[in-house]
Amino acid sequence: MIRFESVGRTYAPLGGARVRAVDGMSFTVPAGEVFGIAGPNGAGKSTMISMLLGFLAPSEGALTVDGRRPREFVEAEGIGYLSELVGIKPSWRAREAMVRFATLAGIPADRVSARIDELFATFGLEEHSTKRVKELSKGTLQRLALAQALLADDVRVMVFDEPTHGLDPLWTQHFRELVPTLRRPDRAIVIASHNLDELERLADRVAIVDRGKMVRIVDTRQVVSETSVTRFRITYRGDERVVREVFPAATIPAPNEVEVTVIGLEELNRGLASLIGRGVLISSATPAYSALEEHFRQAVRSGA
Amino acid sequence: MKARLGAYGFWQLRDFIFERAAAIVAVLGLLLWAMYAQTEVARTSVFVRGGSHALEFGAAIMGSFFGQSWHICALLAIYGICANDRTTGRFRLIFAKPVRVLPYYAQAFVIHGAVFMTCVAIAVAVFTRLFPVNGQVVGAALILFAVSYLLVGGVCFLFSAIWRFDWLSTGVILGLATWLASGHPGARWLYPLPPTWIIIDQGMSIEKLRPLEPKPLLWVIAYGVACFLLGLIVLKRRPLAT
Repeated sequence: MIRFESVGRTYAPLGGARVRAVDGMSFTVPAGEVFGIAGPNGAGKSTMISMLLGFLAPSEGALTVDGRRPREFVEAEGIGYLSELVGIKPSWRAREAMVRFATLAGIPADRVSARIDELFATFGLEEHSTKRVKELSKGTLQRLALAQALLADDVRVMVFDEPTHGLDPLWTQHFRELVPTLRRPDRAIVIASHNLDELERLADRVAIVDRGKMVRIVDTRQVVSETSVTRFRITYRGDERVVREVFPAATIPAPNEVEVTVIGLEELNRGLASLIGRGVLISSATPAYSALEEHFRQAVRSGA
Repeated sequence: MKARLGAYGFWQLRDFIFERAAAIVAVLGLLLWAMYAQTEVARTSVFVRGGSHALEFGAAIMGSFFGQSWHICALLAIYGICANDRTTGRFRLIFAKPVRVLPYYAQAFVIHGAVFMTCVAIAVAVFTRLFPVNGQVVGAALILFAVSYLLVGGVCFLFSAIWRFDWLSTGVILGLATWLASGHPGARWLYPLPPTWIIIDQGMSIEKLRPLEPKPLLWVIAYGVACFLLGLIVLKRRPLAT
């Protein structure tokens, strides 16, 4: 669906130094996939998204969406897009903004109202319907921006740039539950975020970009099952001495909690089985840090 | 799905009315009020004398009214038409929808022009209640306002497509053209500049109750339309983001 082939983008401001924002980037996002983009500030994520929407043309390489130039695709079908900086006029009222975007999205006039009601209910915006955009809190504005991105339910590409930025934990969770419902076999979803935990939960693959280059693509469906060394945090109820016997190198950050380093899931499960066999009750076993975060650290540190 | 751009015209119209039309009406209204207040003695005199004196007086005031308002009102109607969406980032949400850039801004240009002319028509209608003018003067004033929108609008549209300081660059280039033309009337090297001197000359025709000259006005229209088309080409070729 989305294809970057050796795509590069150089900014050449008048009288300023040339900036290589994206450099030789190649990857594809097939329909049906949720694809994440992670990277530190200034890594080139925004430039990638601007090119994907046809707001910027690549300086070199080829970028296509469904075989067409991005702008052609967007003008023909539209993209469900949430921008990082929400560009909704402050003087517009929330519902008015949605009607405007629905009109531009091509939603038939007789369906606009029902669709907005549906999205306002989904995002808890009913009570803010008549408020001006400038009166909305950051989180509410973000929800409004998310709602407008979902107006057309037949789009084949969705792009969310920092989707949970400004959202409280409840709405962040709500968004995370929403994304799987947006999956469709004919739809590609791209999420750019600083929140690696979020990308690990939502995306099938995550591209790690740094200084304009694609450093690594991590398949989040495989990261935990790899045989790499991983640190897990186990919470339990039972005898601490038993835990120390089973995991001699474990550290104990808090009562009834232990952090262990294991090589792969097999070793972890062997240890857990041993604990359970000796009467220890396990309440949870989770990675002590995100596996994607570890990939990210390695990739950004090493540049590969 | 395709954008319902025609239906979106309602919102473009509404934005113009709430954000700009009031300013245009205010400028024209204040100017009318000032002229009405300043000409109290003269009005009494010409009304007493009546006939062609009254019409000459009304035409002179109309010429002055047009001469003092056409540039500022046309600029109020058009500034930032494309650039504002870029500088505020609003283009991102608009053009992520299935919206084509050129028809979107071309429609805005037409709507701005139509409401601008409505504001002007209201002001001219009020003018006719305050001063003695005939149909020829009213018609000439309306034509000149329309032509001035095409000129200022076309030039400002082009600058707006290029960069954010469209109002400033339009003001500078119009001022420069007027200043140069006043020092070198008829010079051929003035032709690449916006032909403001033609608008000013034709405005004087109103004052002197002379008919408008179609040929120079066609040049002004052609210049404005060419700038507008050039603006569309720039929009087509330039990236939306910077």
